[in-house]
Amino acid sequence: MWKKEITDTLKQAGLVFSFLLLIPAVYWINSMRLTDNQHFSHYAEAGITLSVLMLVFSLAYMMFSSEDSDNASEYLKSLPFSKWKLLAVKILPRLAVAWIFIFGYCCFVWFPPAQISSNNALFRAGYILDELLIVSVIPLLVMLSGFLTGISDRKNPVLLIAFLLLTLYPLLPGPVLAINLFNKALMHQGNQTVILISIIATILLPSIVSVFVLIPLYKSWDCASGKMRSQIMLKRMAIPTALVTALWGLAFTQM
Amino acid sequence: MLKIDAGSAVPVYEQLKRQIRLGIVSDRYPSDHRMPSIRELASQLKINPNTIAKVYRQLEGEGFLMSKSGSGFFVKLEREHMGKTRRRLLAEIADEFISQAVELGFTPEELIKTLSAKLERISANDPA
Amino acid sequence: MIQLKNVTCGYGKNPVQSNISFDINDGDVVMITGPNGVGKSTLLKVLANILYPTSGTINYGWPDIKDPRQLIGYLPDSLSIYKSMKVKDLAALHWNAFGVKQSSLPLLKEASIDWNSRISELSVGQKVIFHLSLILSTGPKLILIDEILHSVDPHLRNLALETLVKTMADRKPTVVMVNLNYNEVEHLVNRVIFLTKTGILLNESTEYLLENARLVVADEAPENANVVASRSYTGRTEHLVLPGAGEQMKLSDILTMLMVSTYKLQ
Repeated sequence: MWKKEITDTLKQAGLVFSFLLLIPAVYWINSMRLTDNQHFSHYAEAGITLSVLMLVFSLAYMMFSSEDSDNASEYLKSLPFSKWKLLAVKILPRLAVAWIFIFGYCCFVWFPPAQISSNNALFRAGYILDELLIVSVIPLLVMLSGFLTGISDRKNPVLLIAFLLLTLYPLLPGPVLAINLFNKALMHQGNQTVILISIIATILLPSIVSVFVLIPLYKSWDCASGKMRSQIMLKRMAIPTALVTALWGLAFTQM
Repeated sequence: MLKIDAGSAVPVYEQLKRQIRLGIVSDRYPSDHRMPSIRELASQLKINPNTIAKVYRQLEGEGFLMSKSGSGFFVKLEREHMGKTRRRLLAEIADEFISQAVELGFTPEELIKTLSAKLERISANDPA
Repeated sequence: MIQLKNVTCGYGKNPVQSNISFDINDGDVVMITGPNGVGKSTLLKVLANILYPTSGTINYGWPDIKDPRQLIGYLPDSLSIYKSMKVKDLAALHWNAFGVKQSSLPLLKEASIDWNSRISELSVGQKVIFHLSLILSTGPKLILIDEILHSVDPHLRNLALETLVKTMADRKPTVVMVNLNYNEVEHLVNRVIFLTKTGILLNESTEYLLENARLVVADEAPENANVVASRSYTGRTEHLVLPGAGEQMKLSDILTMLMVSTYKLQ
């Protein structure tokens, strides 16, 4: 099964990156239209950023596309794979590809530590650690979400939005809240390690807990209706998602 | 070639036993002839292998077949056995003939007349 | 022995079958039959361990095996398989999943299946033969075949049945088939389970049925006899009595009468 999943992953990644071919086209069109067109490198950077983002989400969303299009779900369920092996074989190849491209992106296109404006050593440490965790944890959360939607109902918009809110929380609202928390903690002169840990927790925990709450649902995965499973999933996710949505709101007020 | 009569109410294993007995007695399956394996015959006729096994085992018990472990079932011929079996088969054929004729409403006298006439014609055509 | 106790199963809110219980002895060849839509395929999926009952238990009698699917070969009625894969790649995936070391499927040649072709390029019959030989190649103790042979041409259908019977002779697995074409398999099965919307109507060995089911042709149903089914044509009324006195019946005729009477009741 590894061979099949790795092949599928590379094919799907190739499909996403074929959109990169559009960059020169867009650049060329714009250079015809605009008099003060930006340098090609801006287009490239925007295109690559978009592609990397699209890559992570497409790989997750298309995790069970071969089962859906080939009507192979029953066949898959009849194979004596342990639940963990199935989780691994679906998620690990996609996660690896996502991480490789994100790592490459951070090395060559957008280097997080270069963005730090503060001189506070603790802040810098926290910021770098936070960025590292975000780029490694978000893809994992996205893949887990992709898996859970794949075994329930990929077409349920409420489910997709809920997962989006949960998995993107560490990217935007999380750091905003963390920075404010950090500044407040500085004023109170708390223990540095504790501050760092609680900041990381603010950024990551809500999402991690919410998604992991759903893992037990995986045990009951069988050939029964995926729509029903997605309803059960939404019921379980209701409270964590509501909390995370509230945190999104809080972050927006603090921005 | 063994066949099943799908329309008959006679159980399949009984049909097979009769056909094999007939084949042995009429020398279609000569002495030491190797019967098709249970696997072969079952898959050919689409019959449960256990049924074929039952047929072979019962025929072995009746003295028609002999099993050699690992090689299968072979035809066993015993002279006096043959005679008894031939007579039994004749009796079965006669039973069927008589019951069908009776159903059509013929009397025993008409049956005997018809049989004699037919037999005369056969011996007239075949002096041997 | 495989034991189902008080199994209720379905796909969504409403159960398809409730409180079903029956046993299957090792080596039995069972036919599950009944009108369309009563839950035969559903029950087979429960036996295949790909659909979990909403209540009740299923025990395969294999204490040493952690995952019962390891010893089950399941052929669904929906041609569920990775169609975009090549025949050889899917076979490799399948054998890897079951942990068996195989490298070829001899039956493919007889069905003119090219090892390198894509499964989507095969005809329906070839897909079925491929899937069947694949599930048989892992040496299952329980073989489950859903009603799939009806869409296969006669040559391949014959091939499929021959292969199944050879496997039965070689390894004596337990076989459960959902089947509506009685003539084809009536000499293979030794037990029949007749399923209706309300549950199991009949669960008997074929030996019992052949020895005890009798046909009575009469305008009125015979008294003092257990009449299981009746049907009338122009000028003729037949009753199936079990047990009772009357004409001997073939298994396919017994089942056909049951089917007719079930439709009348619904």
